Amino acid sequence: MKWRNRNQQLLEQLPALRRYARALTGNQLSADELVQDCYERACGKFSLWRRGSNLRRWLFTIMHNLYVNQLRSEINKLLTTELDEDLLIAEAVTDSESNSELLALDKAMEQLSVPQREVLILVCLEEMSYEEVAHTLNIPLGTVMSRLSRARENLRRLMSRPKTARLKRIK
Amino acid sequence: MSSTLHDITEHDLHALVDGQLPHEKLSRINDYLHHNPEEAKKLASWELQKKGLKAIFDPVIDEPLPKEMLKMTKDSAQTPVLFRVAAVLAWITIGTVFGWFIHAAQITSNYMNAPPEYVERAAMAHAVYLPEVRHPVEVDASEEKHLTKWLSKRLKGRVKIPHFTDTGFNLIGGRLLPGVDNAAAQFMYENKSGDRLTLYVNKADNINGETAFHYAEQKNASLFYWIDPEFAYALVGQIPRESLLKLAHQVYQQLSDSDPN
Repeated sequence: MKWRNRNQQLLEQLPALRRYARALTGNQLSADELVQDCYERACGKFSLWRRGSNLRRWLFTIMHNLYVNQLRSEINKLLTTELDEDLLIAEAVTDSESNSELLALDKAMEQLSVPQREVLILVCLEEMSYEEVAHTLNIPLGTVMSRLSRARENLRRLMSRPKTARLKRIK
Repeated sequence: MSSTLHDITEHDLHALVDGQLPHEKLSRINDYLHHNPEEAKKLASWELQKKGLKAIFDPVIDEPLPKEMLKMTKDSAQTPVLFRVAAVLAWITIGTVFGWFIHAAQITSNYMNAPPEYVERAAMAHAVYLPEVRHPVEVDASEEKHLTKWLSKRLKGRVKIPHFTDTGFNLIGGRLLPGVDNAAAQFMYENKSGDRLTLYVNKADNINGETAFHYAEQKNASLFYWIDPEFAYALVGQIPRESLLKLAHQVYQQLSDSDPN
């Protein structure tokens, strides 16, 4: 039965959507809200999905659009443009001294701009090919690569900074 | 730097981390990293980042879906129109049949107000064993054959155990209880959300009553009871009257479908 099929297919994608949303928002509540919005949107637009094409990618595109719109309408300045992406990084994490590496990474992720974070998540967690990422986010391949590069370098910088501060001698 | 290394770009470094590097570049990139320790360091830290992200976020995949999310997926399961029409027709038919049943039950209850004594015992048995976690029954459902044989012997009649698996209630087992003038049997059923049902069976020899379904509420539970030539039955549960009536009807049907030998 067609309707059962649709629901089953969408249901199977929920765990991956939740992971993506969690990494994107860094917060379980807003992540799950985003997943629900995405699910509802997908149900409404299901007839637009081309059978045989990648359902997960289609859903990720919906979620990306929802999230970007949400940010745009909520706090415009959070959605930093490509130009001032790195300005945001200037206010780096300073108090991660006592945190474990993972916690520091989690925090550093929050410091990344949304466009950089999205690319990084799709590449690292979803293991999408760069072409797939470009397709999902509807951006050129070159933009994918430059965002990925900046995301990785920014994380590296953010992660290495507290280490130098830790070199305090007690004596 | 040797000229063969010139075609290694940053794109290739990312591709190496992400497992997207073409095979033929693998040895060249190794050379390149060997000659560029700074680049090798960068690469190592990217790999660590990737591992770290997986460690942080991959567990989300195994988390059970939150209740609201599961509810949402059920709500949106739209049945096609044809199914809905069929379902409505089915419910109208069922409703008519049960309506007639209830009507019959109400007519009889008009001049048979006080339920027979065994009904109270049934409600009591349900109330006593409902909260039992470890010993709700004496004989487990896994020994159903033995249970049937044993209780048939003790109740001096052919005891049958009905099943409602399709409604979600599964048999947990049964026990022997003192009944009116005789031994009685209690069968307990449970569904996934932990609701329990009791079917109480007492020998009908000294019980006056009719075959019609009667409804009563006792000890915070609803019950339907009826009497056939051999046994008096009561089905007890904390579920809505209509649902209980449907189940009672199933019991009645299954018990009267018995083979005559």
